[in-house]
Amino acid sequence: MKKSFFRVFLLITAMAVLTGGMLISCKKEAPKDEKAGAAYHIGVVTGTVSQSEDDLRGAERLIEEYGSVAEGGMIQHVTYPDNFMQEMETTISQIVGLADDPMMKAIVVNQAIPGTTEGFRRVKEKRDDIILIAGEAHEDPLVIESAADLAINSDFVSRGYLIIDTAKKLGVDTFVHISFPRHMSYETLGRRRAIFEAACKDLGIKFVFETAPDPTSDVGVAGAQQFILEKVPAWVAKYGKNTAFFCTNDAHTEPLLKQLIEYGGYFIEADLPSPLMGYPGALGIDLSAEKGDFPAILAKVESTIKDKGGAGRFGTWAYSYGYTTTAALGQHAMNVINGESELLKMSDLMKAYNKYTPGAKWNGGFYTDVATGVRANNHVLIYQDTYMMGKGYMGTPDVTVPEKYFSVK
Amino acid sequence: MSNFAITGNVRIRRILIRAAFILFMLILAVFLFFGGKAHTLLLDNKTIEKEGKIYRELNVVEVRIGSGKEEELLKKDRVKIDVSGQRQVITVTFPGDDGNEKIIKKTFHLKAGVPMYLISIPAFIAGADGWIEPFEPSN
Amino acid sequence: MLKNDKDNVIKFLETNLVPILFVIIIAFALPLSGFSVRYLFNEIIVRLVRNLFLVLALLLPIMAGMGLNFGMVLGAMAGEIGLIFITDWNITGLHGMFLAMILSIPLSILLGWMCGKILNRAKGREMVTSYILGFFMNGVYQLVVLYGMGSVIPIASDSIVLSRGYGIRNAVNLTGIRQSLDKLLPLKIGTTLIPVATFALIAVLCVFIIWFRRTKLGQDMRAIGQDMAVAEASGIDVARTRIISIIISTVLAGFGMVIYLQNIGTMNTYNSHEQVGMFSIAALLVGGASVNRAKIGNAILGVVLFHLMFVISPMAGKNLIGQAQLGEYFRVFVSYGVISISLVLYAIRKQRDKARAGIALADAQEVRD
Repeated sequence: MKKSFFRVFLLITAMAVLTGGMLISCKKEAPKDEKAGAAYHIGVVTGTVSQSEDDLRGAERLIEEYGSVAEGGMIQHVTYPDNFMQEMETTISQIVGLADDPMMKAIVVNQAIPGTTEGFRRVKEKRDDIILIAGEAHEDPLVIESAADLAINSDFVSRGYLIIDTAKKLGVDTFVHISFPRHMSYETLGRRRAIFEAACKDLGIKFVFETAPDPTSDVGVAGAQQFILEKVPAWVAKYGKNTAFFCTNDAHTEPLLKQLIEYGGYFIEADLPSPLMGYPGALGIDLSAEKGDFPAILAKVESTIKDKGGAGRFGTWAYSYGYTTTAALGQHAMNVINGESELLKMSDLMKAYNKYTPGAKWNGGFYTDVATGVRANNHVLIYQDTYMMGKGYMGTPDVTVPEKYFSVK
Repeated sequence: MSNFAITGNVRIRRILIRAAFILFMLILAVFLFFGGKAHTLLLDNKTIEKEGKIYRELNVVEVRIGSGKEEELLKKDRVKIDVSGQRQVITVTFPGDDGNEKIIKKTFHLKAGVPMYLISIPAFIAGADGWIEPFEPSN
Repeated sequence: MLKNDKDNVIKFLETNLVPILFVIIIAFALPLSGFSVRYLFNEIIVRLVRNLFLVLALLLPIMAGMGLNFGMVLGAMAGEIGLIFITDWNITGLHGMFLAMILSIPLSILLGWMCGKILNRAKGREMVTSYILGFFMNGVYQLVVLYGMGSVIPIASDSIVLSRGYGIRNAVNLTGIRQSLDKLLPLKIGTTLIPVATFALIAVLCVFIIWFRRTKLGQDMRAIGQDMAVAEASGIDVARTRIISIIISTVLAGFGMVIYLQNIGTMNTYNSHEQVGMFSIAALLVGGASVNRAKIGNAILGVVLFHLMFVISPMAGKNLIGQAQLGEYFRVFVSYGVISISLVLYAIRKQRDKARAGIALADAQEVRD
């Protein structure tokens, strides 16, 4: 009796799924003819507000400019899960799902979290006409390069030297690097740490490595932030006020800034620099009115920092890295499809970036694998000029990074 | 069959069965290890000199490893092929002196500890000993 | 008779409330998502291939009355360590995949034995114990892989060791064995590729489970699942049998992880295993299983429904509310909400069954009077 019920149930399920399927196929045909407005679609994948707000705002900027697919525009925006490290399957199917749209011509993923490579491979298997761009790749350089048509990272090699160089110019004598084991298993983060250490030695700064809990572990974001809040005063007391702090995790940034403003110490720039990275929360300012207007955001953050006596101690990139990368890569993809740009041409890429960052200078180069010395032609490393609040641009794009740091392991 | 009933015989049989199972797993593992080991073969069609003899490059030659794709090598070509397993068959098709196509087929073994081999096609056709050699990539 | 039928319907609705809820939500969300049937069909096949083996690994401990084995994460770790080694040794194709499975066996047995021993000391609280055990072993795993590999345990390949010389990179590219099993016997239906070989392997596992139920050991497990005290009294070595059920589950989870990762093609060295236990258990519950009763059919239905929800809800949420991230929250909220319901229902049902048994007993006594 029970068994037959189960079978009936299976049958009902199958029927429900099928009917649903019919419904969509009917529904899908209808609106398609109406939206003849856009010639093609661009897929944009970002994190959510809670994980990486800047990236998402960049996508919203694109939608503002070109409209979303649902309203007949060009941009199809989806997000990957908050705990993306565990839910790789969802990331993959989100990316592959975009390729289900026959008008899709390019997919931009920012940040290109683990799973992006596999998602790209699957898209390539089905639709090799889609341009695949990865912003801020988390996977190993060699891995993402094998699947993406273009990959972007913040220049972890040059910045390894430049952050220390800037610190030196500000008169810092100790550099504290806050991270945890899982992050040190990222080739990009681990290597940058080694470069920091080498640069510190050469420039006569004391390098200290401090460990903080991983926010994706069992302690969670709250526990990790609590740890930083409690520890920073002790660190400042121990290493002195001429100490610059750097942390690799975004969640650590806000409590770190908060305590540094109060207890002293320098903060050159964040791992993924942005005026929105940590500052609004640490300073307790409301920036909802300035949403997306970076010069205004920067001005407000800067004046608050000055009021609190932090002038010349806190730095950032004037325009959010995450925001500009999402917007610029989307724009670059369109330029390429329209035949105005070449995908792998540096100047064309910079053209797209400059559109969203008037006044700020960028620099960068192609990634070179340290083990083999092979230069990848589809992997670009970029960085923006550092802006110290109360002091102005530091001119980092004009500093020459000594050759030796490119081979530090 | 409760625990009290286990007599010496049963216990020995049990140990034997388990030992046989573990042994089987080990053998299977070894087989899989050697059978699945990937090697890179570089097929080279360049004039080389070996032990005082000169082997001339061919204008065109077709090479196939196992049941893989047939590679056409022109003068001075070097092609990279990934294979797995130690026992490989190489089939070389080339125009002979009399104008007819000649085919040479040969089975060879790769060592597990060597990831990359260089195969010189001219030397292979001449039947020279050193036609296959381990290759160290320089980086 | 009529009353009986009605009772049956009610009982059926009660036991299958969760899958019914899921079907209803999916039926609403499907048209909203706007995906093509082809894409969805394709996606369901992929999800079945990836996850079914892992979900089936949960069945034996449920049979032995040990609840949902969150400890399968341990097996997943063992599978990953096997994969790290074959990637280092550069063993490709099916050979590599099966070698990784074999390498995972001793580790799985060791971990499963340990897990079983501990769970025997925490009878009645197996689920939460095994859940926390997963966290604990995750720490050990990180220590071994991040500091032990490349220093104590020799790892030669530059592509998986960090350039500092020890520790495995956070993502390992499994190109050598990527989809080696899936593409062994491909069957093309329309544009969808059906990996016959993987399904065959899953079928073998199903046959094994059905066969195992009938063996002496399987009967013992069922007896223990019914009532531990009675089983103990009838001469079954309860502790040993429970350990065996956990060991088998752990070994199967290791295999399942290898199959899962050969399909995905990239391994997140430090996170791939973390959510495996949670998702497999969620899928099984969504399929209508409960803490003490699960069938192969539940596993299949569960994987289909749970993962269909994963695929369609972000888009459905986006099209419904207009914001991409709300779709993501929608999925989390609906999926886990439904799972909570299933756990609560289980508790309620257990109490009611007790009450019903009491009433039945009273009825029987009344008749006798």
